[in-house]
Amino acid sequence: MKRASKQTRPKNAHASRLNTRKTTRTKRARKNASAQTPVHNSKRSRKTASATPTKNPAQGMRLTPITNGTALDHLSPGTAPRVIALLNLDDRTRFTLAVNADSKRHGKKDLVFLENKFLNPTELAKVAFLSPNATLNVIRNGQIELKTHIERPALAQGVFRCPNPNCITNAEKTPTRFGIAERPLRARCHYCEREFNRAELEHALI
Amino acid sequence: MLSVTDCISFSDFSRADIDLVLKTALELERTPEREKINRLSGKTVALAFFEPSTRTKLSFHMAAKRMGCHTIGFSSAHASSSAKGESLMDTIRILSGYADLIVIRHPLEGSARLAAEISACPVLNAGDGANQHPTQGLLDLYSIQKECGRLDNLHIGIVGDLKNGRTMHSLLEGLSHFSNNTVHLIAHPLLQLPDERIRGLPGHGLHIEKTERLDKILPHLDVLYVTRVQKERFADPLEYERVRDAFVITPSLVAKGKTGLRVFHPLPRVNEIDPQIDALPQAAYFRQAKNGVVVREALLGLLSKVKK
Repeated sequence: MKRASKQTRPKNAHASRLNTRKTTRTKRARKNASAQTPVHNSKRSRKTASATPTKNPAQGMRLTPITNGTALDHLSPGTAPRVIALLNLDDRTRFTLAVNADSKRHGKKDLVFLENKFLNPTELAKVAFLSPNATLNVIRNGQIELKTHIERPALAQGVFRCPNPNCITNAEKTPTRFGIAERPLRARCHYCEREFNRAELEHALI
Repeated sequence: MLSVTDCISFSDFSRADIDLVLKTALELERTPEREKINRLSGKTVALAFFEPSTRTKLSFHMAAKRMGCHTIGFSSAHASSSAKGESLMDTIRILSGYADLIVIRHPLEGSARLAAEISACPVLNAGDGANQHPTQGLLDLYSIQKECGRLDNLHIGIVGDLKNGRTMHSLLEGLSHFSNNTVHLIAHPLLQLPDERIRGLPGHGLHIEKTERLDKILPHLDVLYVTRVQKERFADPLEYERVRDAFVITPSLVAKGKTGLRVFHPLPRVNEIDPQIDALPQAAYFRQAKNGVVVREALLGLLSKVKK
């Protein structure tokens, strides 16, 4: 188990609620879920979410459960610390992270649990650019309220600094804006009109 | 009526917008001065030049005067409050309270776009770093149309500093709106246009080829557009010395071209065009510079009618 150093684990914690629910999933429930739930942006009711859990995200690893907050699953291996850094969490936010957990789908993955923290669109965009396969789980009152793949937005505002040192956004206090094109990933600065590739963008996340 | 509220980048312009500007400029060129003077009477144009300029600033000044506008402004960053640390956004907010139109030249790319978002009045980009110079691009199109009689089915050679020159970025975007044009980008490898710039073009029928052999391409060209190697954009002076004389246009070279070949240059030139060419009929660059006034008159007139 890998946990945030500052965090103390609640006495009654055994495993994450995500884990617990996911391990109780039946074959029938899994079949129904895959038939009914689109791959992206699948918003589930509380009842459905708790009734149709998905597969175990961190087999063999125990994470501090959260009753309210955000669980980021399927993060690219090794990206969890960077996700924490990019989210600019305040000193009071409790979080747990797991690095290089086993993943049936991707081999390895990272996870981040954020207690009482819900991500805004800009924060979600940062996660999506850093970790293209990331899944968002919004948890309220112990139930998964929303489970969805985090899509990269078509317009990224305040997500990157412009890699062009001569861009006005590096001189003036104004949020950056990039139009995003996929396959391959490219971002075009709304201001200086320069286009950047994935490698340039990864170093420009703010 | 234009579909845009500001003149920032060719990427904002539709073909209809370009046609309207060129048509209006032609009408204004045929209109006597005394009839133009009341067109924008009582309007104020702010000329915010954070970088030195001769032709662009003076032609905007002249265009504003001919249309009956007052002009205010400054000619360098040192002559404005930006020397005291004022942000561009604050300067633009102040100017938009004083003026009906703002013309901006700034060394940083994207500055005109930011200014347009801040300003309550229309903004015209007179050059933002190495990015765009749309009024130059429009006057280039106007000049090519006047000299060659068309803007399609042309073979155009663009030679010089294609990496740092902003005028040719705008010209390429402008030409991409017209059909069946072939553009030969002729440059030293260090000054060649980056591929990402080509990818960003709308690409309606624009065929682009890169080469280093001007002598081979020249006999096929209708237009030879020469650009200056931008010394001020070189961090390494040695690199500038290595490439500055890579292409010099001489009378003997021009003689190899078609009879209808026209040589353009956004000016200022340094040594990339031999002055002996000035007297030849192929030399269109001084006529091109003169066209800048009517094209800017047209833009001021059209943008003064839009509501932001």
